[in-house]
Amino acid sequence: MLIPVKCWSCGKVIAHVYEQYKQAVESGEDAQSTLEDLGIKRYCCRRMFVGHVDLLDEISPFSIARDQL
Amino acid sequence: MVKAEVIEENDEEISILLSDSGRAFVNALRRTLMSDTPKMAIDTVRFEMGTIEQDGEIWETNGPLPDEVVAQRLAMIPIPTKHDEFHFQDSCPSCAELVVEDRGCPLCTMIYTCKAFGSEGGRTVTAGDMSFLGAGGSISEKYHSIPITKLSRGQMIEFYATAIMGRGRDHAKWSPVCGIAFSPRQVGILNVKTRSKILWDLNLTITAKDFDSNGRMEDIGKVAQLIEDLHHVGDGTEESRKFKDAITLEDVPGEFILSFETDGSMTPRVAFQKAVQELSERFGELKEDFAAIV
Ligand SMILES: [Zn+2]
Ligand SMILES: [Zn+2]
Repeated sequence: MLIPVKCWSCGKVIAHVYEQYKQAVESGEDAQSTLEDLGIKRYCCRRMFVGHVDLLDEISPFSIARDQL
Repeated sequence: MVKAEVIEENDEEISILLSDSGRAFVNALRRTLMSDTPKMAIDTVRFEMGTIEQDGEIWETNGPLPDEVVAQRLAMIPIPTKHDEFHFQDSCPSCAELVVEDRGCPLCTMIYTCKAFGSEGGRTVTAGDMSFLGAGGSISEKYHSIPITKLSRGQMIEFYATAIMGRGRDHAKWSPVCGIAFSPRQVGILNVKTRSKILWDLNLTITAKDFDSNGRMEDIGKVAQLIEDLHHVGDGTEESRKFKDAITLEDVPGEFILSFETDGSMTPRVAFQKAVQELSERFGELKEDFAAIV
């Protein structure tokens, strides 16, 4: 869905760098070095990025006000 | 008396060398940092519900994420905590006498508001869209990009979020630290010069010159590097058969390295000071109780 605000295991705030991570990876950069640059060191935090699937865009059309559909 | 020395420090990370101490004490400090250090976090959110008509367009307080999820995300956002300006609600000088539901005043609560509209293709509402009612309590610039929800055309969100002081033992949102761990301080000992050549030949960071004339290495940064290097000749490697214990690590009795990060609501130094204060108050209370019994 939407990237969790904190890492589930250690509690580090991670959501604020997700957009940067996504852009870097989409532009062909290496996920490992990107995470290193963003200061995401532990593997518990790293899996939050690597394993995340942005599904919010997929479901958001289904929550529009009824009279507009 | 325990001595604390800061080894490394920045805005959100710290490593502290605690000497003249014990494992139980350092662990008490670690647990206090996690669950007993006061911190501000959003505790109640009032969502405005309804439909607005603006410039011929209808906006409904609706969105892909349910209010509960939005509220949970808000609770996780690091709220800048000023311990000298805000009090716990149950010890607030101006509203502690009131019944719980009526509590909340400028001395114990921080209120954030947000009103955002969606757009075609989706607009991400972020922590930066929240504004603090008052001065000096805005969420730090660094965390403005935390996404709260994403709204499409016709969707809007409006809420009032109230942050109060709390402790990590009640909810993780009130825990200011993360990635907190401690380990005994170690020194490197060069036992066998000939066999340690196996490690030097791998051309890693540590060399024979890093050990002193007695074959010891005490510098904390270098030892940390040595620990990493030793993985190349440690258990499970081909080299370990010949290397055996040419270089070993030895714990320094009574010395521990405590390192942790904060979530950005306060600096690690402040978190450490507050935790030490909490712990000493707790011990002080114990001492009084004992004195009363004996
Ligand atoms: Zn983590
Ligand atoms: Zn109050």
